[in-house]
Amino acid sequence: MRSAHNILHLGIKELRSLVRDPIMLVLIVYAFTFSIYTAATAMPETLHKAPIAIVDEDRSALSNHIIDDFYPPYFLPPALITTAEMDARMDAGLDTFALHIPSGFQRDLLAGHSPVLQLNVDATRMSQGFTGSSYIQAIVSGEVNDFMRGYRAETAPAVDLVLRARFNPELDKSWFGGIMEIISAITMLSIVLTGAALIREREHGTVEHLLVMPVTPFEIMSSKVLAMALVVLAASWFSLTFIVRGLLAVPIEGSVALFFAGATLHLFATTSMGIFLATLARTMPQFGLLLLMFLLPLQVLSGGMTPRESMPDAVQFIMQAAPNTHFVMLSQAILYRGAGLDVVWPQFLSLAAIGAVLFTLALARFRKTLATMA
Amino acid sequence: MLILDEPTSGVDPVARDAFWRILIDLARRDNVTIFISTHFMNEAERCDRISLMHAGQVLVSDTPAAIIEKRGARNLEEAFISHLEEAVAKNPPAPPAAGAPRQPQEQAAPAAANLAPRRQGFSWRRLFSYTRRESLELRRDPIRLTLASLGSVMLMLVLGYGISMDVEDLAFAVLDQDQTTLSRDYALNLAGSRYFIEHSPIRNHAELDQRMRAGEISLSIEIPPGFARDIARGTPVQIGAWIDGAMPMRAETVRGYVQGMHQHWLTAKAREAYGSEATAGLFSIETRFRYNPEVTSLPAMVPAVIPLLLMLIPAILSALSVVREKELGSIVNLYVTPVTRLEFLLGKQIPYIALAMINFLLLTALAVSLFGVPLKGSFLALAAAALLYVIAATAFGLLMSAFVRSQVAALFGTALLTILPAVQFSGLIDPVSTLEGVGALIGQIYPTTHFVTIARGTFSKGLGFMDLRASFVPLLIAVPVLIGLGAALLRKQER
Repeated sequence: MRSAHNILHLGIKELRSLVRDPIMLVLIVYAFTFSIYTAATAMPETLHKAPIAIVDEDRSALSNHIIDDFYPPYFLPPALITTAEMDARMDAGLDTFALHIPSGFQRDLLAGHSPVLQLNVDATRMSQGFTGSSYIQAIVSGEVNDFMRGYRAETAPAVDLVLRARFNPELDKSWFGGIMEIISAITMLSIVLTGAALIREREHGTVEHLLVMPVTPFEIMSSKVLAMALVVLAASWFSLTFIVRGLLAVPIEGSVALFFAGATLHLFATTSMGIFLATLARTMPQFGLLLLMFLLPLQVLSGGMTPRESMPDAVQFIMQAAPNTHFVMLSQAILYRGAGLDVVWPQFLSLAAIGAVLFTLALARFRKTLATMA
Repeated sequence: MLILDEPTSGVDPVARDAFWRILIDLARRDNVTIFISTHFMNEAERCDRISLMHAGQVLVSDTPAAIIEKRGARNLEEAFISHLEEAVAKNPPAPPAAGAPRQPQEQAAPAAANLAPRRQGFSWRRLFSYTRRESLELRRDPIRLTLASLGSVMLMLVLGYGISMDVEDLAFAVLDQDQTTLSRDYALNLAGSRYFIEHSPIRNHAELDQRMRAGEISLSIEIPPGFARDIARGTPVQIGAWIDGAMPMRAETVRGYVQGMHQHWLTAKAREAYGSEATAGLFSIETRFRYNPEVTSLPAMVPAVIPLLLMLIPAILSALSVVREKELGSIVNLYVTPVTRLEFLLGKQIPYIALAMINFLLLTALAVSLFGVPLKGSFLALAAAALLYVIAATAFGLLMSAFVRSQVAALFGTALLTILPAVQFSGLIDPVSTLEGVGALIGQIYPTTHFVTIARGTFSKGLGFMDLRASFVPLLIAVPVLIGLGAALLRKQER
């Protein structure tokens, strides 16, 4: 009971020192509102306003039809260029695609000579280049087939493929971007707040004050973990309710309460990680570097940016130990696919286990650090 | 130089003597100029020059011996009293002697070089003294140095191999309600590609729903009953494909793959049925993937990861440098010395620029050697752009640092304002021209965007200065703007 009382008061102390830093508060608000909104709305559809240039040496009815087929939002209106301009424009990064229609294309097609179109793709722009080229193939094929209809009989079997996307029928990227941005803001803020709060106490020497008070390292650490987790939870609740569901109008399929239960477990793990990193670093600059070294892989490799199953096996395996991986998995399942606890319990279990291990490790290191300071 | 205000008052004679021995040692051996105020005449005698003071006025200033001699006194004590009596006699209503300040000021060893008149304007000397101070701090923190360079190398390994835009090994399962050779052939067509891995078949719609919700499969194919029979009769058939849309990017790719394989299967069937001449295509499209013929992630990602790391690490380091002094109190040096804000900031920036350039060389070497991404274009152009870019990155950190009040805020703010724009709005994954809204605007002015263009241009496209000059301009603008803003926001006096 005494312990809970101490934790409460130490926690209030943490919150107070946060409130006294107005710029920090502004940054937190920014992270959970503006930053999330920007990230969500900036994400384009996979193929959106793709810059394309067309070299039309045929100048036939068919080639004009093909040129007319490229229009926004998938493509920017095509730039009509000459062969000579093509390379320079691609080098400068002006076009992702350049389609070359050779002279006599329509004539050869009607004569059954199987003419060849050439499509140049800037393959350094992977996602756009790859999806775009299959779109272009489909568009050109469609146009050519329409044109040739009546000249040749259908030969392929009449099998239609009906493709439907579940959980996000329009494949609207802002749904995805909004939630993933909240997740990364949660992770970043929780690690920074707890870790930096501890380093600051060490640098200012106020840890000494705590040492001479009748409080245990467990209480000091729990108070930091709890106070900061509370701040982050409140901020993310606000963000999910007003920004993601309100402003961005992303439909949430599953239970928000279940998501926040998961978020709490995730915070338990990340705040402990913050303390752990802070015990490894001696100064704030060291902590800042350590932070980047953990934060960046956590965000990029957790499956929140690119699909996990496409990563190398070793990376997939190592990232099993990261709380983010499980949190991203459970968030996607709950928020987009409406999954219940019956589906996401393995992730909850993993998060709890990772959190417990991190907390224990951090507490051990924290005790040791305090002991060497005293 | 040392300034000591009555350092020995209240100290016992033995300790006082020991203390004085240290002072003399400092003055004689290390050539330290020492200013001391004291009211012990036996201490004053040990100094090279002394000034006797009364009520804030200097009465006399000379060597101790000269003062004694001029007054014709037996010792310094007497000379001092005689000076004081003279001063008090001139100003009769002086306060009682008990409170009279007796502050002989003394000055030891090498007389202070006559102070240069305070020079306003820009001084390289003051600037470099901050450079020296900052580099010393860095040099004495080997952990930070190691973390900064090894850290970027490690992050580059992780990100270079980890960020993969290739979508492959996707899990799919089939709900086959036909169970004929033909329907199985269709499933095998998918399973045979490197993009898909077949999971155990789905038995009914409830199972399809449950497994998609769990995220176990990202594609499910539904083949209707009577599939083979209808094809044989020529009746139109529909195959249903459900794609998990939770990750739109992945879903788009899956859609492309499935459509492609569906076409491929149809062509193959047509060929079986009507012979090969029936399907000799109407036309063909020859697709050339330029600059990266194998369409693999590495050559596309590695040149783009370098700008990312050269933004984050230098910015974080420099962001803490000023605010750290604010928090620990040494910022007072800026407040009370003639150093200008610009000298202070630029001086602090230089060591971080040097550190970042070392990182740049390390990362480039790593890209070429370990990742095997050849540098086809001009190294000079890349290095020049990198220099401009790291100046901008460190200036950005300093701007942040001048603006915030606590290290926590500097850390969080810098991470917030570098990671998101550098990862999402700078063309690392989606080209900047396709972005929308505020993100697009940020993307267009953010330095990382332009350095990514230059890095990809020099690495993959074999370009040089002239081809890339358009991307240098925004960097050239960003540098003075960021530095100027930083200097404007830094306060020369605490509020």
